[in-house]
Amino acid sequence: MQFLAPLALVSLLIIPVIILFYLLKQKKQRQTVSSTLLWQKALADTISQTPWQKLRRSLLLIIQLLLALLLVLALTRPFLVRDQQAGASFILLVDTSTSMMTKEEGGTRMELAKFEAETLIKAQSRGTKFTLIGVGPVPEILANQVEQQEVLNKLQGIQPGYQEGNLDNTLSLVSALLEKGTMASVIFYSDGGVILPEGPVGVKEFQYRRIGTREDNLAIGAFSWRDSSEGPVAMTRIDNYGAEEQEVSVNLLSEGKTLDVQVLKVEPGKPGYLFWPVSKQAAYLEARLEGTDALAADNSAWLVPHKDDLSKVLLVTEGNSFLEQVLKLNPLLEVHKVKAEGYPNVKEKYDLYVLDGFCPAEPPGGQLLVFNPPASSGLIGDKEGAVTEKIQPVSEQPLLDHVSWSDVHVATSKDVKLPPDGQALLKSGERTMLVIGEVDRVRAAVFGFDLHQSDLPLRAAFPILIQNLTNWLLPGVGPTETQVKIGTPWELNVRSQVDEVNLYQPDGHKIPLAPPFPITKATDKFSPGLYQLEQVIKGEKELSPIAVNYSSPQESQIKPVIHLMLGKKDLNVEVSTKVIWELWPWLVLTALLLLAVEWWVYLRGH
Amino acid sequence: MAELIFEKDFLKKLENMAFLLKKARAGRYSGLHRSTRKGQSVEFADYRAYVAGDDFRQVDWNAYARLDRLFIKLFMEENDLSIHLLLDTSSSMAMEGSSKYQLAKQLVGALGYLALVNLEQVGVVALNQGTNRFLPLQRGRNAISRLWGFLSQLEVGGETNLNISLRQTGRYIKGPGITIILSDMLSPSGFEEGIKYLQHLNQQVVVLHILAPEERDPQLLGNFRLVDCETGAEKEVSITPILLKAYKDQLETFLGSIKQFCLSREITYHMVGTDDNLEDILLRSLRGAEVLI
Repeated sequence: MQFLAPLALVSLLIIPVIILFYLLKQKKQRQTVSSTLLWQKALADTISQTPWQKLRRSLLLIIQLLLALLLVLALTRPFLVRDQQAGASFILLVDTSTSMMTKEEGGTRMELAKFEAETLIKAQSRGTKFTLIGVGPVPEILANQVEQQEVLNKLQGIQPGYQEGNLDNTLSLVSALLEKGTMASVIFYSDGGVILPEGPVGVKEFQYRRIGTREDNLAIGAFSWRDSSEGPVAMTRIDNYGAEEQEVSVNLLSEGKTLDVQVLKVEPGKPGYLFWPVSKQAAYLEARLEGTDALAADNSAWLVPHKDDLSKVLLVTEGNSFLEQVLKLNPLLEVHKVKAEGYPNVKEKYDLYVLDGFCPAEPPGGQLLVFNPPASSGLIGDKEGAVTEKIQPVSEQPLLDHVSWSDVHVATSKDVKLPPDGQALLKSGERTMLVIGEVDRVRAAVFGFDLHQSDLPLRAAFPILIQNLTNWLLPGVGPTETQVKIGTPWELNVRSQVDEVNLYQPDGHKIPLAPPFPITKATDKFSPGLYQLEQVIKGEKELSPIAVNYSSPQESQIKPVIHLMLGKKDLNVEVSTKVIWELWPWLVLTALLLLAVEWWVYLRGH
Repeated sequence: MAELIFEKDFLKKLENMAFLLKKARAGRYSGLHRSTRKGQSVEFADYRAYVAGDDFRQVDWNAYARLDRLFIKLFMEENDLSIHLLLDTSSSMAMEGSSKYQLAKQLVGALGYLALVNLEQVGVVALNQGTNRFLPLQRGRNAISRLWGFLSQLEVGGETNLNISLRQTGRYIKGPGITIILSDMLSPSGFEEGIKYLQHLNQQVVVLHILAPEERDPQLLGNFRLVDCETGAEKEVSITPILLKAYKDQLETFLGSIKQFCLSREITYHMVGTDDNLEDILLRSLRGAEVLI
């Protein structure tokens, strides 16, 4: 015979206690009286008088009522649902993506997830170890193999961010943790809106706790600006992620003032578009959805229109129609041309100097784009000759994005010297053909070959390359400076002569970014809003707005995933380790104790 | 017999008292009580015609000389009184720690002394179920020692059944008189029929109800096994303030019923406690209760 709860046998100790009370009862004091006649009548009087009598306040009565209550309660077999985990160690994964900001009944999804995790943690016995990992784009270990109280403290500190959840990365980390020999149950608190691993996962004890139920959400999917024949127009795309058609009122604001309000009906699962004629003078625009959908994070978007002030470019060349044409393609550039002999007469300052086969004795004071520099410039080495080996661009360099080198040929090229902190973009064998670098906050890109000695200007790659280079060389030119999307890498370009750079957050908080230069401060922890970049050049402050937006269809799709597929394994939410916990044994135990108290009170004669 | 030795001063005070007879009940001998019976005495009462057999010494010769008819002179006769003292000797009277029997015996000794010095006839009956002991009517001072001796030889024991005991007492009562019952009256079968029988025997009944303080106001609280000292019956009780109150209510009811019975039957009832002073009882309380004058 086996017992599920052999410890309950300890309750048998109550038996000798009860017997003891009976023994005590037999030790009644013997008292001789002249007659028991009157006592008998008095006893009969107290035991059975009339059927009803005044209810006396009696401790015994209260105890007996309580006793009866407990026993009746025990008969109803009440129970609690609680987590019952066998593992002595837990790895708790909490989704910290944007969708966890979704408001549900009783709080946000993050609050609900915290509550569930807290319940599970508290239900475990002492000594259980917990690891807490925040599931964002990159997993963040918040606590590793800690005790109950510490993990509870860490759990309270978790907040969702403007980011996507990536379970793939997280499970790789978890697998690495488990490889150390830790036996742990892995529990994932999420709405399921995360990047999932495609292949099988080496985590056995994995459970998915679905958080949340709501799915109604409207999001601004895009907010952009373009010139049209009738002037500049802003476009807003509104996506309906819910299951029902929604009518939404959209506000267009600029610098805190409402410019326009439009109402739009959006069908479920489809986008709706709104167009707003806007002024070029507007410093920035904001589109805002009215209403109370489940997720507020994607209800606003900001836009900074392109500026009209053009960057001045001086092209110093003996004649290069390829360069002239490609620079004129960029509407934001104001191109001036001068021959090499005319250069000393140039008094005006330019933002960018494009030097074709020429190099002045003194640095011109602007950014530099140099082609085929002469030997006197000191920029090139002595390895000039025919390019016989294959041209090899450096990989993963944003400046070479969409630039194909497969059909580009160069006849001869010089070897460009690599300055300190510089980077070679193009190589052919040991020869460096294109270098970028920054010296004294002056940016420069140097081509080692004459464009006329190459078919590069004839290829589609040429305008793209020049556009990329001018964007990099001229901060403030191009949309990457004014439109930032959270979650995508971006570079903060500042003017070459800048002395100080500060960033003002939407709430007015100032973040000093530089000096020191170059700017290395991580700025990826943005929240959406309109930021102001302050550049101080010789005491003069220049403010330029930066619109920081957050848009993620993965996070805006807030409908909780019921079947979370992990490889081929379906982690249905119904598979749970929740168990019912019957309370009747505790009630009966309490009743037994109360019975002993009742006896004691009775023997005390109240 | 030490307990019956009274101080001389007390006895002297006692000698100045007498029993109060509420109705004329004469004995056969002359005593200090005025009888309603007419006979040989000095105080003239009436005449009646002579009939054969009359004591001719009682013939009024002067009246015969004037009227030529024989008349007998009738006088108010001062007769003695027969007093019966009925002492409850059941176990309940002598319960351990209680002095009810002691007090009752002293009362009987004192009342008997008072009666004998007043030339009354005194008889004592020890009430005990089925085994009554009896001291026949005594008269004169010489009987005092016999009375006290009888009392000292009495033993207590047995159960109380006053109805039976009082009926048996009737055997010893030959004429009218005063009957004084000294008892705690704790008789499960009652006492009313016995007393009625005594009244039927032309007795002026006095009930001296003796109770101990522990019976009137028991100082018990807790769990007890109560043992009846007469029957030995046991009763387990948890004495709580509620039960104590119920007991006192029962005692009040019990005393009330005795008083009511006595009042309705013209019986003198007086309750004495064992904590009362004997002198106070005899010289004051019994005078107040119109038992003595």
